[in-house]
Amino acid sequence: MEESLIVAMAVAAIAEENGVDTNRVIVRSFKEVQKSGLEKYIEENNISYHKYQLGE
Amino acid sequence: MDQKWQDSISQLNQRREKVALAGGPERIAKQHSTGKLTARERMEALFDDGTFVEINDQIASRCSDFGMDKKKKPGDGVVTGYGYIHGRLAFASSQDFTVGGGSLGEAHAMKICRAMDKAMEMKAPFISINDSGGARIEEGIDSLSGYADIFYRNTIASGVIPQISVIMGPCAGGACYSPAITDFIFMTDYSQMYITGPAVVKSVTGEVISSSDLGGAAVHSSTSGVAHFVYPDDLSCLNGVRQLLGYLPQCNLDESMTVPGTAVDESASLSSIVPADSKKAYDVRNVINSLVDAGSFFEIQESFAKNIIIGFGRLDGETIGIIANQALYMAGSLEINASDKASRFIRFCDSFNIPLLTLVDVPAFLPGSQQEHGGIIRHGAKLLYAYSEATVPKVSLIMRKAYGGAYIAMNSKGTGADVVYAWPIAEIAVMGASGAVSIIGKKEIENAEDPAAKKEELLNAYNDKFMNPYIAAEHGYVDEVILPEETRSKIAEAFNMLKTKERSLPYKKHGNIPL
Repeated sequence: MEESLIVAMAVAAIAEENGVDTNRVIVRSFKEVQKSGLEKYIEENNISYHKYQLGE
Repeated sequence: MDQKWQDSISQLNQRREKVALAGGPERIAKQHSTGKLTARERMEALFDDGTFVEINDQIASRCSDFGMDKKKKPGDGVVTGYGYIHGRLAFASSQDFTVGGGSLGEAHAMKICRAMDKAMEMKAPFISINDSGGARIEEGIDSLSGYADIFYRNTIASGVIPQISVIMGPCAGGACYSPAITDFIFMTDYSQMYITGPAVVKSVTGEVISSSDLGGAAVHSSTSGVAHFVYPDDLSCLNGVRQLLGYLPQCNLDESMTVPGTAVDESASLSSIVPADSKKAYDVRNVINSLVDAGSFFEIQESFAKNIIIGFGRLDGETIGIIANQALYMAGSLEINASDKASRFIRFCDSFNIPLLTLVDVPAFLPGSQQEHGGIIRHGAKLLYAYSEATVPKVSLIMRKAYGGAYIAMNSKGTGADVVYAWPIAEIAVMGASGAVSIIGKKEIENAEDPAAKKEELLNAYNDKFMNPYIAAEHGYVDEVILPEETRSKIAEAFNMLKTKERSLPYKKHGNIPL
């Protein structure tokens, strides 16, 4: 199965779950989201990191 | 799309890439090899995921002296912008050590100032991440003027928006004064702050000292009191900043957020935590933790002036500032550093509408020539001044000792406390029994057939009459003597009642605190 088809199915599934009419969802393009510099650094250096969230 | 569009877009993309590359892969790798993040990575760690927006990314130096026009870097060695922390707006600057060593020139300073101005206009906190070799020498007086512009804004913004400095590398010379004016300073283990570095110290005074011994995080957190928080690395440090901001309002016209937590009332354990014998030590942090919402106590300057504890906590989800004498160190007496530490914290809380809880167990101001010659009169006065001047709700609990001038200085009724509670073991007096008897019973003891027995008799009489909270309660200096198990509920009730408190000071330009 083509990658774009998998992503399209995933988008449709999420839309359906959120009560959006899938016929009205148009996927215009697919673009891989690049990891940020920080994400890469953390991954490359095997750093255990969790961003502090309020109330923790 | 016509050719001109394509060319223009390509040019913009190239410029953006150049900014994003900062000092280049080699310098970024070097930064990483020392355990430090880059300026943009720090912004990413500081703000909520995906919310950081960079501003003025193309600003560059106008300097052409010393070949600077050929070394021009877009961004000029500092990243500035805004984003959201816990969903609330905040502004920040982050010096980029990979670009010209993060040195500060005219454009660099202008970027920081613009972000500060926006923070003031938007009434949002400002966070300054410092990692810089200092003034950019090639830009001469314009560099110095840039620092002055920042210091001026730090001062004007003081008491209006929370300002936090984060030192993550070198911070030397005049650059230290911006953090020093701000409300809180965070340092990482490998950062340094000093007005003059080891080389200058050696050439001027002959003293040989390493940079960490001169101005490392350990020195500033424990000896000088310059740093409020120390963390081992960038990520944990920026998490600390996020944690602190969770207790603070956006500005002086705002209230702190209510953060529902687990309200646990462990007041019943207080009589086990605090020994009735006023000579026995205990850790006052256990008292604090038994009162505040579970896990909410966030201590500030924990390694400096350990005889007084300060920090934020939450009571029924609402932020309070806590000041407590720590019996574990110097019996909880007040001295120069403790007075400075507590006074500055009280003034911060008062500036930002954070109610104050004071836990009192204080024998005295520390005696001795070292303290007198160091100016304990001047420094101790700051504490009296800060409490008297504060108009936020102020609640005190006298746990055990409250003697003499130190009693007055620890948020007593006379200096404006709204509600003063005392436990039944509290001893509120001019001084401890032994000292008092040796003065007022001196002749009686000397003339007695058995001086030791006479002293014992006078001690018992003094203890019975004065070493309790009831005379203070009868005279109205204590509002209520409470049982330990009532402590949390009474304090929470008092703060609840005081929510609508309005107390204003007479018009003045500003007071003249004894600095």
